[in-house]
Formats: sequence, C-alpha cells, structure tokens
Amino acid sequence: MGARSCEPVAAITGLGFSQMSRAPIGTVRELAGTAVLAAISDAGLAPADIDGLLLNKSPTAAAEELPLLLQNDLGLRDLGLLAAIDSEGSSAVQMVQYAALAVRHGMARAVACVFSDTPVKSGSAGDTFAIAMPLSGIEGWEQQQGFLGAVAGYAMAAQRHMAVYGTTAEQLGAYAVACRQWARANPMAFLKKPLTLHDYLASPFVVEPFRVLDCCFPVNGAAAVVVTAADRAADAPLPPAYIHGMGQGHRGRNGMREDEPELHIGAVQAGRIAYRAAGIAPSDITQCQFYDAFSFAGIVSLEAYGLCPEGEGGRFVADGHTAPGGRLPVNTGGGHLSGYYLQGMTPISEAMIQVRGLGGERQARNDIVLVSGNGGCLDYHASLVVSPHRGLG
Amino acid sequence: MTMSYPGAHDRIFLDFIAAGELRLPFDPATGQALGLHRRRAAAEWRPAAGTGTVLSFTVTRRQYAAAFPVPLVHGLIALDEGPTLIARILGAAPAEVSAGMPVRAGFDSHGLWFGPCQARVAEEPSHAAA
Repeated sequence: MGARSCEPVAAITGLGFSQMSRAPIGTVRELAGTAVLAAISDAGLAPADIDGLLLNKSPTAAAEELPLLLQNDLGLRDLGLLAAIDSEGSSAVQMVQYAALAVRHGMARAVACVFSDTPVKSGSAGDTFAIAMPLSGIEGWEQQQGFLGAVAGYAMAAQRHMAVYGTTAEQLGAYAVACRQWARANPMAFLKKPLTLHDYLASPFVVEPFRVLDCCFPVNGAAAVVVTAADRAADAPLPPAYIHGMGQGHRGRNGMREDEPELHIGAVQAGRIAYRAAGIAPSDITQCQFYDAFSFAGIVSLEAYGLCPEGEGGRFVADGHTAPGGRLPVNTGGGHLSGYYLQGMTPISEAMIQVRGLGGERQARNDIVLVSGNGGCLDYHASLVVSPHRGLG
Repeated sequence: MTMSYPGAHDRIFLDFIAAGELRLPFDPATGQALGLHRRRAAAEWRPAAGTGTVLSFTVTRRQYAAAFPVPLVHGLIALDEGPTLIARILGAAPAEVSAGMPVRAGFDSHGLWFGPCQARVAEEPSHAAA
C-alpha cells in the first residue's frame, strides 16, 4: 500500500431511482426529475439545499430529451453549477467527479447528478442501439458497411482479444453466469432466473462472438446521486461513500495497425491516476463496480485496472474470482447484463448500496470500491475509488 | 456512438470509394500513410494496394438493416500501408474467416468489401456468403 491520502475529495450522500421498467413509464425528463428528488430526500436534504445540477443523457437520445430546463422542473434556483456532461458511457462517473471538484472548491455545496433514458420502445431496445459507431474514422463509413450498434464494435474488440490472448466463449459465458449469480440476490435486478454455462452457450448469437447473454439488459428509468463536501457527509441519514480517488483516460485513436484500441484502453490511465490520488494499489481494492454493457467490457476492465495480468481477464473470471464467494467481487448487483442498464449509474448506484452495507445477501467487503465508466467503444474511461471510511490509513 | 457531420476528409474518402477506388491519405513530408482518424488538410490521397490482413472479425446474426442480409461478416482489416478499417468480408463462409487471413479489396453496390486473397469471387457476390 502506498501513502494514504488523509482527506477524501468529497462524498456521495444520496441515491435515488425513478421507477424502472421495460414498458413506457414516462419521458426522460420526467424520470430524471423523479430520481433527483428521490436522491435529495435520501441525502436528508430539501430541493432548496441543492445548488448544483449535472445531467447525463444517453448517447442515443436527443439533447432536448434531458434539457438544462430540468432545473426549473424541480424549482431549483440560483445554482452555482449546471451542465450536461456528454462523454458517452463515462459521463455518469465524470458527473460525480466534477461535482466532487465543485464542492471541494466551494462552487457548490450539494450537487445532484442524474442519468435518465428510455431506450426500450415497444418491447425491445435493439433498434434504439443499432447506431453506427465511428470506429474507422470516416463519418458514415460503418453505416455504409452495415456495421451497426455498439454490440458490433465490442464484438470486434472481443474477437481481437480472443485471437491475441486465447480468451474463449466459455470465459465470456463465465462472466455472464457470475453476474447472474449476483443478480439473484438483488431485488432491483431484472434477470434473476438461474443461468448455467450450458444455458449461455445455447443462447442465440447477436453479433458473434456475442450471444444475447453477453449484452446489457436495457430498461427505461433514471438514477441520481447527491455529492456534498466530505465534512458535511456525516450529517446525512445514511452512511456516505467517501470519494478518495478519481481518474480519467481517453486514449484516442490514430487508425493505424499498431494502435490496437481494442486491447490498449484508457482505463489503464483512469485507474493509475485514481489509485495514486487514493494512495492505494490495485491489490487493495475489495470489490469492483464496472461499466459492463458487454461481458467483454468487464473482462478487459479487470486487466486494464490492474486487477489481473493483461490477457488473463477471461481466465480470472472463469476461475470464479469475480463471482459470489470469490476474492474480488465484480458487479455485485448483476451489472448491466443481469441487473439493469442505466449506463454509468448502474455501477455508481451499486457502489452506494454496497458502501452503505445495504447489499443484503449480496453484500461484499466494501472497504475500497472501484467504480468505472466506459464510453464509445472502450474509448472514454472514468473511475472513482470510494469507501465507507473517511480515512483509508 | 455520437455521429458528427462528414467533412472534406470524409467526403474525399467516400467519393473515391463511390468511384470504385480505395485511396488513403499520405503525409507528403514522410511518404507514410496516415490513419483515417487523422484529419490533415495537406494529406495526399494516393491509391492503396487493396491488400491487407484480418485482425478481427464479427458475424452479425441479428438482422438490423434490410439492405444487409445475415449472416453478415465484417473484418477489422489492417491494410498493407498501415491504416485499419472495418469492412464486409465476402467470398468466405463465416467459419472460414480467421484473424491473420490475407484479404484483397473488391467493390459492389454497397462499396468496398474484402475477400480471401486466393478466392475467386463473382462481380456481385451474395452478402450471405455462407
């Protein structure tokens, strides 16, 4: 362990959800408002106490679906901080980071951060996400080639990992099975039916090497948190999550063969910076809450965040280390695959539940929790190191 | 997943493709090909050899777009000049495609595709080349 930081940057003191459903339950804006009010109440605050608001819409939603006008919907006046964060899947973690910096430096005292999305239209979200990712560098190219959806981009990256490191379908499946085992103990999880590796291997392909069970489970809904200064956090009715480290890593692409953006990702940088700030090493982390919209994203995150050797994420998962009873619990609520897909708010919300010790049967050791956000096709990364302990020393 | 609007760089590349030609931007100072993510106004667009290697591949089984019947194979292709791009692979069954496979460019109504170097591929091969 390195030298520990004495004082956290800030704290997360409130967590709130809207209803979550596969059916239409309201607009993005309405759901966001519900989640923000729930988070404010959970933090033991009133709307009048909130002087910062950060918004995160899905990359597939139009900007006007989650406007700055949410401020007025909620009657929030004289905000010292108001912005929409638009860094794809890393946005929710980034919101918490900017909120933490703002409260640390006196721009605001209590900042609400919200993600809201309604991707499930008429029973399926498949078409919502069938948007071409700009992976080759020419706008319109993937569309012209019929290469559609984040699922295709991540499937391409996963197959590259399989070719270079020998990662197998059974290892991808082990990740999905472990997440389902966790989800079974999460009352909020959507997919709780027992899942075996055999069931996984028998499930249909969407884009090979991904089967449907490698993909996130989209829901309509919103989640929000409230961030305050660390010295105010003890006043909150429930235990806070102290933020000890924050990092980002956006590696960029040059489009050349040796670049390998499928294997070398900015999460390495996001982790290194967060660990240094928290004064910890990867081996100090007691559980992870990853942004894992696809099984492979969880596996490659284990490697990039230094929790297992490069190329060995699949084996690490297949050996059972991330499952219930394993030495490094990962995505204890079921994550995106079996829990609920609220993009970056899924790992943040489960981290809050775990830090508070409210995980029930799925509660894992919560001393040092790594939270990640991941956007684009492994392009944009942000991380938090959080803990129920005000000091990590 | 955010798309921006095509600019000159994108239009130049796509216009060559529409004309049945694969060209790449080169740095006139070094003579080296530039990755397609770089946008350099001074780039020279030179013809590519049209040969490359499959780094990775996918097989789309869920039908997303009527114009692209499934199974639909795509490769992450490293062109011999160095740049990479994603394109359809035709003229090979999904099970025949592997990382490391040498491929050669062709053109059809959708634009660019790649096929195995040795394969004989018809002018308009079926997309469902299974």
